[in-house]
Amino acid sequence: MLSLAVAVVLVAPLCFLLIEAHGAGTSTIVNLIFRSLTASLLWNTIRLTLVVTVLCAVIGTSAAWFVERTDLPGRSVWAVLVVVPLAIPDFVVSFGWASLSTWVEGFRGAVLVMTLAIYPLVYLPVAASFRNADPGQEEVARSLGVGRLQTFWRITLGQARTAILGGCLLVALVLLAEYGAFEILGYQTFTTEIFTEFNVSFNVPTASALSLVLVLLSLLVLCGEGLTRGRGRVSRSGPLTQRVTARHRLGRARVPVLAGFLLLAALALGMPVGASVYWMLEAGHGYLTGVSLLDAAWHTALYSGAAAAIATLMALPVALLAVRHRGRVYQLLERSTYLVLAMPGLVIALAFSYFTERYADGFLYQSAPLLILAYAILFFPLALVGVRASVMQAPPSLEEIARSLGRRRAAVLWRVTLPLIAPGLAAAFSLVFLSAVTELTATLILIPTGVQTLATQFWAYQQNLAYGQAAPFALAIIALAAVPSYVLGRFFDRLPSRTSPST
Amino acid sequence: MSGVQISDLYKGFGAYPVLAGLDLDVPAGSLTAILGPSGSGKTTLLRLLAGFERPDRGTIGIAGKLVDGEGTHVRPEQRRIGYVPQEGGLFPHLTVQANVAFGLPRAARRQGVGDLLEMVGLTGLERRYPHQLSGGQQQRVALARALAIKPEILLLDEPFASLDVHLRASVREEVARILRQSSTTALLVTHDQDEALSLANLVAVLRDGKIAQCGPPQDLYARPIDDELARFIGEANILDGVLDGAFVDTPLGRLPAHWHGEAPPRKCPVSVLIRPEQIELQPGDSERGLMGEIARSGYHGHDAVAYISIHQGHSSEQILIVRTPGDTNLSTGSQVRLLARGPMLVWAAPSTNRHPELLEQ
Repeated sequence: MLSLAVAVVLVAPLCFLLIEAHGAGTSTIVNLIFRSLTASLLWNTIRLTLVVTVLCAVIGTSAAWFVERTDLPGRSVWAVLVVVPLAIPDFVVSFGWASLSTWVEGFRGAVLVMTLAIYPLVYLPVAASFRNADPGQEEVARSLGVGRLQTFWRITLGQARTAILGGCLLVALVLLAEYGAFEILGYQTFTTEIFTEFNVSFNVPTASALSLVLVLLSLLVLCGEGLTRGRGRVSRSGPLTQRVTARHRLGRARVPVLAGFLLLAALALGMPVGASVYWMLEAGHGYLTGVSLLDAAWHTALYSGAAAAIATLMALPVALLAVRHRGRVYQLLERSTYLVLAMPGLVIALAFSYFTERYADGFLYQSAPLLILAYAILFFPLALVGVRASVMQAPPSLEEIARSLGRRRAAVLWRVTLPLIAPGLAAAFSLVFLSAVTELTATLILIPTGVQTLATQFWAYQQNLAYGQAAPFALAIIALAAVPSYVLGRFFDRLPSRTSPST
Repeated sequence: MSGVQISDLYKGFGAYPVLAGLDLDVPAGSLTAILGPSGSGKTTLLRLLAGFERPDRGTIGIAGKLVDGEGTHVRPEQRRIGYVPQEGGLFPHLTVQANVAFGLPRAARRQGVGDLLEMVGLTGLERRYPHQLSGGQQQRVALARALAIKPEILLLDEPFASLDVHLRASVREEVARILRQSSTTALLVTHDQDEALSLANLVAVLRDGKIAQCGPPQDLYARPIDDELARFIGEANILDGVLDGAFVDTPLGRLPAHWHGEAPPRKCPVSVLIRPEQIELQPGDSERGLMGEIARSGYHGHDAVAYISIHQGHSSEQILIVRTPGDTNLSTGSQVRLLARGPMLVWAAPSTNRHPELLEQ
């Protein structure tokens, strides 16, 4: 029942969008979609998505392989440095590059900035899968007379395939939804165009028509991933004990590989942070207004925290239901929540703001609850990932034993189930919190009047080319996002010990 | 009335029936083993007793109280059932102390846990977490936790299967001692016939979703109801014979016979059960006994098993299993003579292989 309510809330924005588009008239929508602007937006969006996804896959996968499977010096440090860019919002990376170099603009700028900003989305799942997969399979392959390179292609990459595809899916979805970074770089995609139509020209029919196309594109990406996922599976033979296997020796390749990691860290991490620090120092102390910074930080934390709590709470019944009850209806319910993945933040924000204005008399429009709800819906899939992983680790037999020891259902949930999945709840909370702190697009539309978050204040300064004033806000976002990133790192590091310790 | 009464129990998953009309009476205070091959529904039976699943049909009574059937279903938490799963199922986030105390009311926790841990011999480990314990210790904590609620009946689901061989025997002994000491009615599920025979005072064999036979271990071994059960519980030689009054004529000579139920007709063809230890090996040049040739042999230290090829009447060759002392010289190909001892169990012939799944064990 609870899960059904959650599913309804999640699908609501999509329905709003459809109602909105319907209100504009079908023929108007069709005309708006089939014109040359759509074609050029489509071309811009698709070529960027393809190039960046491939680059992220290559960088993320090779970084994960070097860190997890070779004797790369300083592995534990690199494992952290490689992931940290995730805590830096894309629009800050974009700002860092574009404010210092005029070369970084348009298509090439977008490729550079987006690759550096989101390759960790591939790195994280692939590194986890390398950790989990059985290195013994590589040894078996070698013993069967298959060469090193062949083994890498056929076994190692095979083991990581699901993870790579999953990472690429996330990259593609982020690219479709990104607004801030492209706006700074002057690169036009569906999202930037929708934003302009809605917020600058107040052209609702065009905005909703383009939103429909965007949602359709995201759905296509989702389906593509779903098709490839079914085939084959990663498994390890034998009990899940972590075996110590010899790492590949880099030998003479060590120096160039290290140089590559240094370069990656410098470009993805050093550049945006460095640029922010540079602009802050450049501006001197005169511009710094401590109060507005604190106030914005407080509101960011408040909204993000509330959204994270709500999203985690919503994910709990869905995850419990989907993992524990293997029925068609339950699976369908869970799948329906993934529809949200196809809804970029901008589209959700538009649907909400249009709907409250048009049908609810402006009730809740640009209010804190609506913004928090939008965050919670937008990042629900992330919360579900964390909670689900934990629920799968908590064996249902433990709950049965607890009941046979005379405890009621509610007591069992409180004393057994929740403590067991607590790490997952923390991870889900952190993931949503992190994403909400670095969110810009939906925030710009739904932010309550008279309030600024770190992201919107940064954006306001940045748009006025007041780089010195924008920079402290960028650094504050990074600082605020760093805490949950650390929690997340711990959680995903512990996941490999998949069986309960009692075996 | 106490103990467990199960009658006409049905449970299926989808179209696949698991239990089909199962009847079983477990007397109070007994340790009863449910013996059956993997997939025979043993665990399903335990889960039904614990109340984790609901039967499709039939009734379950525990300690004289109806818990399933006739429209009632008592919830697991109200059954007072102690359940010990295969891996112990300790709560990984709780200490030993908190695990054992889980089902106790707040007031009884301190004293109760101390006594229980003393009984299972784990005093001093209260503050450990499950992953800091050995497999055998985990099992004993799980047992203490189940006993803490003073259960009407204790359910043990293959509790020793996950332990290694050395540990298994000692933990088994230990558990049997604790159960006797606490005089708890216990139901043990296992696929290990050795475990069932040595531990339980009542063994019930599960077959085709029913209890095929239930009785004390000695009874089950000496008087199985058919040849399939004979082969499932221990090793068995099944020979053709002719019943003649109180005797049976077999290739091994004329031997005293006994049978289940009412006496069969005076002269009729029967199947004869001869256990490997009922046959004695004599040197090939001795005067009495059936001639045979050693086909192969297996050495087990405390004894040895010889597989001896004989020719039964004009039919084809048959292999007989014979248990001998470990120091017997069993060179393949040598001639021996076979002598059989004692009364032989007979069933009406012919024997058929109705239950090949039992033979795999």
